[in-house]
Amino acid sequence: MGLIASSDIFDALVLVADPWVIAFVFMGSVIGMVFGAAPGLTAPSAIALFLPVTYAMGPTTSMALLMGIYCSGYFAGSIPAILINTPGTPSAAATALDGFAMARAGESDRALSTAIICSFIGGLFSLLLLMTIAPVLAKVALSFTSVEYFSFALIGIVCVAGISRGSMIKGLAAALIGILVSTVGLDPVSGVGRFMFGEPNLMAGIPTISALIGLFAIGQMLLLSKEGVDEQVILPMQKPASQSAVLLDIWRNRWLTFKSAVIGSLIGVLPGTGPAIASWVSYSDALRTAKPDDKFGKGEIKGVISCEVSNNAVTGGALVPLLTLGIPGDPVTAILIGALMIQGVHTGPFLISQNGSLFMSILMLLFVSNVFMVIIGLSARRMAAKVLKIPSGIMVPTICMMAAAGAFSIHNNAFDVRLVLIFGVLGYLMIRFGFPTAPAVLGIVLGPILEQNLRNALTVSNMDFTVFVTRPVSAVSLAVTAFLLYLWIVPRKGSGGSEGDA
Amino acid sequence: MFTRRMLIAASACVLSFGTSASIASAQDYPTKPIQMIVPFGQGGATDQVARLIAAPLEEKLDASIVIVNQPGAGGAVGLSNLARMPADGYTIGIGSDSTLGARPMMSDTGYDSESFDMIARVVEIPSGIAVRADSPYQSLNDLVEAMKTETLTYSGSGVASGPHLAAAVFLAEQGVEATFVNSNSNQEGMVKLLSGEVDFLTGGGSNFPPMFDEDGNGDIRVLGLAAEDRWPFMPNVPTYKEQGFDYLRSQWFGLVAPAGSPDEAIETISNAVAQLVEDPEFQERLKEFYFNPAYLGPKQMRERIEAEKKGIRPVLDKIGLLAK
Repeated sequence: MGLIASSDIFDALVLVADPWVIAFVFMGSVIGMVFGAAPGLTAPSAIALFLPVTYAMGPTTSMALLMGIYCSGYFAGSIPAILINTPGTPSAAATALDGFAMARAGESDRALSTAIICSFIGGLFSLLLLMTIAPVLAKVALSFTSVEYFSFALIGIVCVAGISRGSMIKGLAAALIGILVSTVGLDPVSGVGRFMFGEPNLMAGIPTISALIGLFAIGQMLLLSKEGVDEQVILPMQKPASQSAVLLDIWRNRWLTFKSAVIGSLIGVLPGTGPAIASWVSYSDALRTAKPDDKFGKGEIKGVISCEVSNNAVTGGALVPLLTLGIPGDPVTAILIGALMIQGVHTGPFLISQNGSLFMSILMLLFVSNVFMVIIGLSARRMAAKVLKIPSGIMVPTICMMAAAGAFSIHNNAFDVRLVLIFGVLGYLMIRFGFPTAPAVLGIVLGPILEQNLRNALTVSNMDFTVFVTRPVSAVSLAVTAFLLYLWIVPRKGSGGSEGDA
Repeated sequence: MFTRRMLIAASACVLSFGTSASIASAQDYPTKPIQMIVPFGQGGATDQVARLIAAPLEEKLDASIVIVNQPGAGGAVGLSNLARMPADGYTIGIGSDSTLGARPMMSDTGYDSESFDMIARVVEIPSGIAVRADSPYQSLNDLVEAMKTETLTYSGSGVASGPHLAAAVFLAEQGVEATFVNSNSNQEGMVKLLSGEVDFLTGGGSNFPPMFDEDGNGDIRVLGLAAEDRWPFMPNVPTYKEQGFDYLRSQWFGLVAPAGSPDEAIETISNAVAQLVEDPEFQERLKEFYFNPAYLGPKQMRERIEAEKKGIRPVLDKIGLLAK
């Protein structure tokens, strides 16, 4: 059977051409831009906060809003990264290295314009990948069993090693905290209650969104209210940059751009990874191939290109496993599963064949979102910096209020608000003691996938562990896992020994 | 706790301003909006039942109905919250054979069937078993015979869900066993069936028709449906009885209220539902979701639950899920 009929494409066009839908993409792009640019607020937290708003919308309008937030949110973290060396999102951390150095040399406009256009290129590339590969992968996906899903999820969890730039031990600890949190509630395989302390509300486990809002939004807000007003960084007069010069920069580095787009897309496809890993991997690859006269870390445009192309290439890539397997490719897509379920759309191998027009409209929305991202980004890149100047006294209570309202509306249950508070304190403590919060979220999302599929696979095979190596796709995944571990851990032994992980 | 009560009270107040004017003193119940708790998420079968019944029920009762989804733990979270709500007739919920019967026996859910007053059973779906289209098993008999000599695996929407128990009880009656592989939804179970991970799938009949095209071609074969007569939506599928198995099993959904709710409220709603399921327009809507209207009054619904509990206890014990 043909997966996508031409009528689906036409239906999708009709759905997306609705002015309301376009308005929602625009609104999403603005929201994403603001959330991405404000330090401590990330694209995942924006999506989590606005998810309840989509309950009352149709599938197309709700996807329009969320895709808009998704694309702009992933880009906008670079604005504060370049302007004040404070990445708005974890994925922009690598951008800050060269971007801020450029701003100090008065080239912030060039850095920002490059970041915007590179994000656009990355987004488009991954969209193309989603369009061509996703329907094929959807068919392949039907041959995957719990064995393969487990191995895929394992790759995701190993990426903790990649994220943990500071201390690998703390990164792993954070991931394990996440996995521990995911075990609360009724055990999904045999229905036994775990860590419930007689609280019926914990039977369902800890909702990822509550944990996420707490760990990211509240944790950061607590931190902000403690540190008080940020010190002002005085930058020299900024030179305006011409767009043609920026395009020429990118054309000179077209091979790097292409490579970064491929890296970003593929990392996006891996379940449970995300833009942060993609940007670091691309950056390290750019470093690996640097020429002697490149000034990485001191304002090299290639640093900005590699990070920005790849962290936005993640968007389309991450949607591949979501739309074809029902497995999230990154934290945002993990939340998108909930958004689709609310609309009565079940993610899984049937999504594309049963909802062809929805799939096509998601592709189109992603394209429209990328266009809006460039328009809004380029026209408002100077104004965006003003978001950073919102005083903490106004920002902190506003965000806390929104977080509480968002948490309540997930299940109409006040218990979730208390959970958000608890996770906020946990998130604050983790940040204070240098534990990254991203691996914890990775753990919460991937924990159940790992556990259920491991147990299901072993149930089917009568506790025979060899199924994981005798099934070819799984064997390859495990080999990739081992290779990644080698890549990330072994070189560190030589250079990182003096810092000490103890 | 305070926050939830206050918010619900606040929202009820706001809503009642809108409707109280229209409701005159002609009747004593209802005089304010009714809250309907759905213990599963939006989009599932339970939620569909709630949304199907809420709109026409609003008209019949002349009061607005607010649907509140509280998903989690196979319905246990929403129902245990419902059990602790005030029994004033203005809070009701959707219960089913498995959430009211088997679920509380499996773990400490904070409620059991005694925590509720039954209002009315609304719809039912026959249970069935399906295999892949290329499976060697052509009939239920083939499947049962195969299980006598080898260990087969099957899946369904969650541990101790209605479909899981439907198959477990059937297998227990035949004296055979199979390994259950958990899925979080019927859709996930279907993936496991199609990928060859499991040998058969147990599910409510409403999950099967969408798997076939207009000519009846599909990647699965439904071996049987455990209804009295052939199911109108799949007339080619034989019943269990036709294949020599005296087994009837359906998943059903009904309305419940916290125990001790006023009789007047329960009668009013129950009678409204009884009239509704006779309404051809409502029946037409049920058809779109492959539901069969299946009204039972409060007394009969309670009897069904008690019979269900009695029957399911030894099976739960046998498959190791009985906690108390």
